[in-house]
Amino acid sequence: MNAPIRSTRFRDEREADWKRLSAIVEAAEKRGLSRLSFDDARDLVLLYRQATNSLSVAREISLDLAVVRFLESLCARAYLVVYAPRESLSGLVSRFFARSAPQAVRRSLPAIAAAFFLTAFGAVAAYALTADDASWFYAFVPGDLASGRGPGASAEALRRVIYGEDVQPLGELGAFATYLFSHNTKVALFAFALGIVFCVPSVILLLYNGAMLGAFVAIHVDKQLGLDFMGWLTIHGVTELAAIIIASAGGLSLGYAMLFPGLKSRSAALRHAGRDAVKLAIVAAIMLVVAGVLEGIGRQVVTEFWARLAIGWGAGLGWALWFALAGRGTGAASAVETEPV
Amino acid sequence: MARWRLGRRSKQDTRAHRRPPEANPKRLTLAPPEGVPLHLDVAGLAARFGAQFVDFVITTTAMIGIILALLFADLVSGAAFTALATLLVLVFGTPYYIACELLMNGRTPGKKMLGLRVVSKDGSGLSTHQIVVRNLTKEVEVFLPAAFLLGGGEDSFWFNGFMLVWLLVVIAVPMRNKANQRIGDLIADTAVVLEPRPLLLPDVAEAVGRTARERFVFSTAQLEHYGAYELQVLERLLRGGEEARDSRERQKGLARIGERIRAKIGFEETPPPAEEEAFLKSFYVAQRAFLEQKKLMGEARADKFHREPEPAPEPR
Repeated sequence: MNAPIRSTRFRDEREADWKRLSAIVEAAEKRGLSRLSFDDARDLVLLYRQATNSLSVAREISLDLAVVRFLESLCARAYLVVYAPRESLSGLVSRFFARSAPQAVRRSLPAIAAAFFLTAFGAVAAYALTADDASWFYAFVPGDLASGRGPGASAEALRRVIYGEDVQPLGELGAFATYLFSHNTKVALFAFALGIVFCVPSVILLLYNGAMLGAFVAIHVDKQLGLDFMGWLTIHGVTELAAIIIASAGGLSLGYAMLFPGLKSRSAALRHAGRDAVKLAIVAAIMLVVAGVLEGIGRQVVTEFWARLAIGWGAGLGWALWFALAGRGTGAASAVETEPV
Repeated sequence: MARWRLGRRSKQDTRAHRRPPEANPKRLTLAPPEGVPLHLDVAGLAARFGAQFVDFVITTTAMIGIILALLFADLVSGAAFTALATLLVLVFGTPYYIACELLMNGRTPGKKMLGLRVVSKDGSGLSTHQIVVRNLTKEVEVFLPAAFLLGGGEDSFWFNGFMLVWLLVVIAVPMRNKANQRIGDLIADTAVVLEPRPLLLPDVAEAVGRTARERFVFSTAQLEHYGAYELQVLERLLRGGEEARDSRERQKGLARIGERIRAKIGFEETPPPAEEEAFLKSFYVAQRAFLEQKKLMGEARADKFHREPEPAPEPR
């Protein structure tokens, strides 16, 4: 009876180690793991394992609430330090561009194809309708986006927009700035994020976006400006439409996981689909920024038809090569499943 | 039969309510690779909102600071300035949160200030993918509704209606969720918890002198009345007044409790008021030694009602 009770002895034997772990964790949180002294860094994991061991023993034998609570938070704190993400930003970025992004795009090829066909279908349908009856144009294109272009506009006015005789009042960079918050960024964002609602909003947005394109093409072809419009659109449009299609493909794959989760639970399927979908979203964001540069600078500076075509399709070819060829090296295939990014 | 069952259940419910509710009832159980489950307190919605607000203030201040510096330094022309400002707005959005949580181990400056932290629910470390996912969704889940509320909506009835519904969904999901996860947390399988603060209190059993323990001796029959719950209430009580040792209120309270315990266990002697604390402490030590001994033999006892100890929550 006079000897200290069992749980007190248990505590006395280990208390110094717990205190040391607590101090190391404190230092690691404050100054960073890389600035720990050699001894501390060496002992951190060992002490952490011992502390979790103590915790599971204490839960069984000790009725001292103070010890159990202390060990609980000490282990949790140390766990967060021991299992902290250890990525350098530069390594992360280079791996994303070299491997994980193009691989994700290649894996999502069916969704991207679906998004492409939906856009194409919308465009063809709207083109046919508008070519037949020009008033359909107003059904597809909201007023603020048309900015004076429409079935009623003269061929001269359309040509002026295309060849940039009325340059943006803000200048090139200003145009880039306004572009980033413009219509298409919103479309890409919504098509990605709302795809989770069983694909429906993404499909509607894709069809609608295609329809607007078709309507614009129709009124320009009507005024014999089809080729010129192509040039005007191509310089940034190839990149931009591809970005929207890729973002929507991410949304579609999320919605597909919600619709047909297979043998997994819906949330597990969603998490699995999210791995690639998020990469698609980032790729689309990068492409939209590039499209912004092309639109802001390229479209105003380069007014020659063939140069526009070359820059536009050149950029498109660049993207295609990146998606098709990057990350195919040795060992890339085996890393696909375990890739943490 | 059904009625009887119902009655019995409701009786159990009232019993359960006797225990004082925990301050934060939502707890998260993580199963780290070591196989010892850890229980963490889930961060409340108010704290998370506060952290978001602090981050918002920080990013906005930084943005305005840089823009003003550019303006006064007069380095860039008008058009380039607009472009730079736009880029700044972009960088201080989602990229800021992703970089912070990556480099600061699941915290942003706002979260650090309020003692919050992002953890991965599956018990492994927080991965880059999880951080990117939960912050990308923040764009549509937090910023879009916030901008809508601040901007006062647009003209379109359908748009406003849609945004209001979305707002309700965004608020309802974390409120209904067991771990206060928002939609982004659900997709990324993360949760925001309160930072655990390890604080080792002294052992009450240590502080009891040998003489006191020899002075009050309890028989096995006297120790068979209480369980772990009562023991820990007594522990809290004895700990509670460490700094206010001499206050009269505390002495009175201890005397009242000592009296009740003595009546319950049938302890013959009545110690003088000065020895009341020594009596309670030696009872605590004896009771704890007794219960721990029994626990070791596989006879755990949660409280005086002879209930089974609560099973540990299943690690998810």
